[in-house]
Amino acid sequence: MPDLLTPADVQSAGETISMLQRGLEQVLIDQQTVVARVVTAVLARGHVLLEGLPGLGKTELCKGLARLLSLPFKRIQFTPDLLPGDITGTYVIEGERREFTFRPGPLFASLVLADEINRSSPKTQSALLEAMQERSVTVLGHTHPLPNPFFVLATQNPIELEGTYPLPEAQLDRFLFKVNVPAVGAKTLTTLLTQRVRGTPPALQPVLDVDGLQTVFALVDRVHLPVPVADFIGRLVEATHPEAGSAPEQVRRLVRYGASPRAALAMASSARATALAKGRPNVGFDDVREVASAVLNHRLVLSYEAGLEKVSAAQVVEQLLAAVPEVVRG
Amino acid sequence: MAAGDERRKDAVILSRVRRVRRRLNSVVELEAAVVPAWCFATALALWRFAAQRWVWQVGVAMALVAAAVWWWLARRRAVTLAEAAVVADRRAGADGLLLTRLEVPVGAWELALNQRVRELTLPPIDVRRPAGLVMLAALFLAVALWVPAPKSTTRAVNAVAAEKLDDLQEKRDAVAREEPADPALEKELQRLREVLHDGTFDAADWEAADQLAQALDQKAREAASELSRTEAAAKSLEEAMGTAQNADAATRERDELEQALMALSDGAATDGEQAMNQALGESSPQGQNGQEGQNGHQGQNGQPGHGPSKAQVSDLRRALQQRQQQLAQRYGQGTGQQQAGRGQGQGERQGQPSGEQGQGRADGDTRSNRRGRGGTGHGWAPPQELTFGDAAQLDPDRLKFERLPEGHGGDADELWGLRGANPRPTSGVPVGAGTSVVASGSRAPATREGAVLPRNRELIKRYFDTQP
Repeated sequence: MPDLLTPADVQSAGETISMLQRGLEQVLIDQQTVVARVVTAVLARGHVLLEGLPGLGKTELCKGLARLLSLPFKRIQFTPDLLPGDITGTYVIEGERREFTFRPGPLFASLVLADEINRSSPKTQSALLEAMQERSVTVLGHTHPLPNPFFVLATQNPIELEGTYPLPEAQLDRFLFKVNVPAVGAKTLTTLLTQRVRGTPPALQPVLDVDGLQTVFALVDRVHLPVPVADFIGRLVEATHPEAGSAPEQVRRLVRYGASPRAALAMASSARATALAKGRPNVGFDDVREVASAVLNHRLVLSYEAGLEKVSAAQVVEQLLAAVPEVVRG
Repeated sequence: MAAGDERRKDAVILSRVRRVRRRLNSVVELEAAVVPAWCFATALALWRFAAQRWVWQVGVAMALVAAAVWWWLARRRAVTLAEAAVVADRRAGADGLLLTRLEVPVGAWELALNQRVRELTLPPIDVRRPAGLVMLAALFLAVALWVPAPKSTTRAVNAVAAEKLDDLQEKRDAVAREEPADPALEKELQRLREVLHDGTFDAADWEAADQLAQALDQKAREAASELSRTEAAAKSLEEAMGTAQNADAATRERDELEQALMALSDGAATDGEQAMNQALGESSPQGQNGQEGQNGHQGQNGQPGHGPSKAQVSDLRRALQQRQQQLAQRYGQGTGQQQAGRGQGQGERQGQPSGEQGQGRADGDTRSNRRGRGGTGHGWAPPQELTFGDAAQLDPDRLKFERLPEGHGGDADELWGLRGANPRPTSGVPVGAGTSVVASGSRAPATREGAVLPRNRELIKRYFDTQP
């Protein structure tokens, strides 16, 4: 077991993370929670699904993140006629010898913005499955690794249902967080109007390069996860399954399918990133509680009764956190 | 991990975690003691009130069981060190660093962690409820042991056996009044009582009780038989003695009455009355009273020394006859003769004053009254005026001619043949108005001269104008 992070390591990582957050907050005004979630997901090397109304700055957030991290950035506008090859790339005949040469698609970038991801067909959406999980793309039998790091930041509009294709559960499960971008208030709009002419965000200076980001990733991995906290994460994920004995009554009634083990891994890694962002060398129960909703709310398949009662996944997760104890007697 | 680091962890971190653990376990142990304490108190109280035996032995055993259950429950619910560390981590605000310290060295973070652990406050616990419940159980047990135990009750299955033994005891007491009790029987009865008290009264004991009951019944039957025989003998003796006394008294009274009647017949009214009074006074208080009443009446009339009137004499005669009949009924002899006399007296008494005591019929009275005083007919019939003359004549049909049966001697057409045929030897006194008449067998053949009483001779002479 590696030694615990030193205070110096934690401090340096914390400063970097703070710089990153401050930079993103310049892009997305008064959305500290959204920014923190996005930073946490990046530190945990996870993909983020941003859900919100149009015009809230989701695309600008992704662009600003790419600039801050000095990462190659690609933007894919998902449309109904988009094909998998348009994302992953394809083989073309070129040159004098007329050989098939692989032309990488827009997916081959460290930071990919999948804008309006639910507007493309499931076939095209499925092209992201391997890339998001394996961080590689297989075309015509040849597997092509994606750049490291590789992030997918997807956006979707929750109100436009016509001509859209809801993401399948397998696709949703590959997103570390699903972050809801809330609407802003009048004060935020005033700030936006006074500070930005034509709404253009300020030019951002990179905070990290790829090597620095890899160093932060290593520090995140060294954050200690105590056994009681890991046990709490395991019991929490187990309790999301309605057939589990430890599931609370609300989960049994309102949840049809619970979270996968990938959710537990995501919760642990995001809790580590959260702890490091808070300047601690270990994960605490509060770190888990902080990321639980973002990790679980898009992984729970709610029942018909939940729809009738207008109960959201976030509310179910809140009840879950209240029902599952941090430590079990005996 | 270095030994020094381990010691520091044990001295600073684990010691605080153990304190937290002990504090939490104190509540757990108290809560675990509630159920065993109440079970123990309730069970012991029930045992004391139900069984009422071996209370302290059973109490110790129950206490051991309750302690074992308590120990098992306390261990099962005990707070582990990891759980205590979580609580301590929360109480210290270490955000998981204390938990991490228990797993890995924290290096430079240790100083900060130690500072937080020193400031750790023990978690608040609420022992009032479990402690109160345990104290309540102890109080309940104390009261249950202090309250006097109720009278022990016999189980329903042994209640019948107890009733059986009570019956045996009653039989044994009854037999013991007649004869000394059998020691073996006493011993067996005592053994059965002990078995019943122990609650082990089984089929063999039931059989023994039945045999005991049979033996006692046999003794009771034998005693009852001897008692009945004794009573019969005593009754026979008493009756024999009473019969002898009554016979003597009746004989004496009868003789006295006869003498009194004879005195009346001789005209010595006063003497005869006195003799009669004497005889009645000796024989019966009632007769004496009645005679005294008559004497008193005479005294009031101022007629002492004079003979009584004819009506008085007649009353006296009837009283004498009633008394004589009562005596005859009570101590009568020759009952068969008496019954026979009843059947023939009606037809043969006409003109035959052979009966020693005539019934108060009109014809009899008539004949008696014709003598002027006294007479043989006397009884309980109401007094009638004496009639003389034709009214007193005999019914001629009663003396009509009747042939003698062949072989009885004499001429059948001769009148004297009547004498040989009537009165017959079985002549008796007819029964009148339900009163019985004693037909004295020894004096029954009134036709014989030697047997006719002096008072009757005159009567016979007047009827037949012959010597009797």
